[in-house]
Amino acid sequence: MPFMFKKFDLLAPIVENICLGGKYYRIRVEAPQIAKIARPGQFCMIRPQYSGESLLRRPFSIAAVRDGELLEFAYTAIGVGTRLISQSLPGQHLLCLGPLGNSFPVVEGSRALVVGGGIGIAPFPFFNRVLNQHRIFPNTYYGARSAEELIYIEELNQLSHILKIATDNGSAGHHGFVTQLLEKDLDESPSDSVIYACGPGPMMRVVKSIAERYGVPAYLSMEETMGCGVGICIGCPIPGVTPDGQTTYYLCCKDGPIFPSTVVMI
Amino acid sequence: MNPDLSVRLGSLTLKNPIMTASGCFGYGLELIDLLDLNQLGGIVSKSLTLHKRMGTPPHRIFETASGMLNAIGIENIGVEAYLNEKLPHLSRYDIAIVANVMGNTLEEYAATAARFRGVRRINAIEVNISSPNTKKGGMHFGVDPELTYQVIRAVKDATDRPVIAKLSPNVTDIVQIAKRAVDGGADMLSLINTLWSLAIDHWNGKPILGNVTGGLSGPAIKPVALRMVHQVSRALPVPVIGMGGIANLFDVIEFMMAGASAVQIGTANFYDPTVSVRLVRELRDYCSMRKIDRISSLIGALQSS
Repeated sequence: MPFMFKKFDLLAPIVENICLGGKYYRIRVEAPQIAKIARPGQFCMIRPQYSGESLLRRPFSIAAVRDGELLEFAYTAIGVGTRLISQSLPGQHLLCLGPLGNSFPVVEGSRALVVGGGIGIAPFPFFNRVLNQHRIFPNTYYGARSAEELIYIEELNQLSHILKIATDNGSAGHHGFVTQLLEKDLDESPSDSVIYACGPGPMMRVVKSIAERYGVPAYLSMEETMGCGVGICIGCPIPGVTPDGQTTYYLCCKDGPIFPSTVVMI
Repeated sequence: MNPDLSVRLGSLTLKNPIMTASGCFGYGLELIDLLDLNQLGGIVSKSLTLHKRMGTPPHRIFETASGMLNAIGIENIGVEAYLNEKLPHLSRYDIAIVANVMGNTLEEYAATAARFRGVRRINAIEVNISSPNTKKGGMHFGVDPELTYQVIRAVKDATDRPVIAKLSPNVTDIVQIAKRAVDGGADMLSLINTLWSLAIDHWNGKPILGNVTGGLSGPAIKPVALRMVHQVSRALPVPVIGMGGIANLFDVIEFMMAGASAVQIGTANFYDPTVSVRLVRELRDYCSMRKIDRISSLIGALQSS
């Protein structure tokens, strides 16, 4: 049986829950047991303590650990569950189960290329900080629909060798897709590069094809509707291939959420 | 006061009536670093088939008011892998272990159940004749009284373990189906499985689930489940295991009063993963508070108004 990391199910007090603009929010909760052992790329299943008829928790990437005991999540309020979380107030509590799933591998001595699209930027403030601790200063490529939807800009700037931005409407950075920025840099020098990506499906498909074209390893943080987050409902399939070439479904929550780009079919 | 929480299910005795439902607790090992399995009365495996199954394409889960839809499609590792990789680890725990089996044909049901012949740590076989998410097998058997009889008979003849027939609510007369399951040799009945459902994405005009339809579960279905448990337990002399939307102590009490000798916790595990062990503790406290010596005295205790 594979070794399983300890997880905790906490009633976590909310210390801050603010709107960052548009549908984007940031929430901080006190969850020291989880914060102490969380690794970048992992997620928590969260829900307000009282959430009426919306029962299931939502998977949130850990965006940062603050002061060693606060967990920070960035999220968009788009559905019933996330809207309820966005209405939660400091002093109220979240049910918070974590840390869950695997984490981004740090490849020593590599040139890290970090690609975030939309709310897919969420795990990277945490990951970039850990990369810095390993003396790796990544190139960060961040795509959003518009300048108003960019979050964590200052922090990412500090934690990156260079931060490059693309927006769909050209209101900030490159007018176009973030993957175009990634491709341009890889064109100049692909050696020792490792790609780490999290974002919407179309972006991830392009990242996978770019990684294959340039022959560089890529780790993709995948997303799928989850029931439990711990592998007991078998509800979050990621179509993929096994090492011997058989098609299979991986579980996003337990086998992932991070997969080498070569094993997922997107 | 130390109330007796044990319940008898025919030849099988559980130390308490709290079990986890098939498909809602993985293979039983996923949460061992979060809760103490030894606290439970029993666990039921994910539905096992003769060979490994891939299940249905995404999306498999959709949240709905006070519940959820699922269409997993019986993805599982297959009966051999369960016996070799999961059961040895589960066997360390002092709990009843029920293997849930499913097949596309009568022969597959029988062959899968036969693999547990002589497997001492499997205390019972639960027969899935009620999953709405497969093209063959599952509910296709459980909505037809004669097919129900045939599949339960085939499993009963193939195994030396007690047989539990897991019934579908998607029928006109559940008592008629339950009777034929008992005629076929079912030692117990468990009910209810999920209600056959549909979710639509109005933006793109497509079904949300990859399988088109799915099964509705969670607190939304509790009143239906309670009614069916009540009907079936009054009509038939075999133990009934109740499930359907159980999420708290009072749900457990109500199901037992309706006639359930034990209960299974399903969907609640997903959003409250330690709920099952907490319910055992709460049940003990409840009995102490209400001066109930034996929990079994609650079984079928519903009074006529």
